[in-house]
Amino acid sequence: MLYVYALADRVGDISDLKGVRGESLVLLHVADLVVVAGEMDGTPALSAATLHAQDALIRTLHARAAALLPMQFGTTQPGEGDLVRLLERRDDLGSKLEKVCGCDQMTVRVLAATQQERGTMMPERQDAQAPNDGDELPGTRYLAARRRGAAAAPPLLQGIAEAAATLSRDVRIEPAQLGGVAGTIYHLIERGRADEYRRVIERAAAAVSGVRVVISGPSPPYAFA
Amino acid sequence: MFEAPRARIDRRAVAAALLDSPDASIVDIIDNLLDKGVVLDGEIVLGLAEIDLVYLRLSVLLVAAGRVLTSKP
Repeated sequence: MLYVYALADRVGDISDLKGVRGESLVLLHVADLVVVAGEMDGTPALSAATLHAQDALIRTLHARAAALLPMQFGTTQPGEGDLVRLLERRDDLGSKLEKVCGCDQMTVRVLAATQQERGTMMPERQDAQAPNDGDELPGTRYLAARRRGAAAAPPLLQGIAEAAATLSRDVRIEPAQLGGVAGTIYHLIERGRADEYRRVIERAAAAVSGVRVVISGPSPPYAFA
Repeated sequence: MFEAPRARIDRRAVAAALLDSPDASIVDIIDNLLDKGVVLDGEIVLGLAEIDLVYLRLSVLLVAAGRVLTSKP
């Protein structure tokens, strides 16, 4: 079976690289795409070591390709024919490759500090146990509060994200569903501009009371694949 | 009825500690590799803990994998 690592516009020599199980890698040409894959008997176990190994390989491939779309972990196909048929049905991959060409992904996790923000983002348990108002059951009120919280999350994230608008080719914002983290912002930026990006985001976050950001990257454009 | 006091968890502190730790990169790796990337329309197979093979549709996999990973010590 084929274990599929990434799609690219073109990749140079990869004979020095190995897959997560130490297998040799192959390049398959499908229309205008190049597929990086490895031959395996089964699929790799889900473990921290395997995830690290796959991420390291994707980063190396990303550095050797102008445009690369990482596959989701665990992507397999029985054989080359099946993979070709699947990819031929996807007419969105070429435009995605164009978009990520020459770009890195930056990730910003936004931590909201105040009780008010926490209550808006993720109501605490006691909210759900408060006395009833009208006919609403506690569970109904809890879910309604969560829905309001999800709706209220974007402005905070949007404001921080917009600070990097001039550096960004694309942005993806995900409000968090867990307490503590208000959400995650993914930016697609030109390669080589990570330091500039960090300064802009840190300045924007410092201007918002009670908010802290954790910035990571540059990394391959996983969130834009 | 006696009810043992429940320890209150400061979720922000937990999140901050995790994201500030030397292993913070694993958060990004899990997020990127299990929740992002190109998804092909096909079934995948994952070996979990080298014991079970789980056959799942991709959308279901994301939930299952998240639970498996967070349940480990």
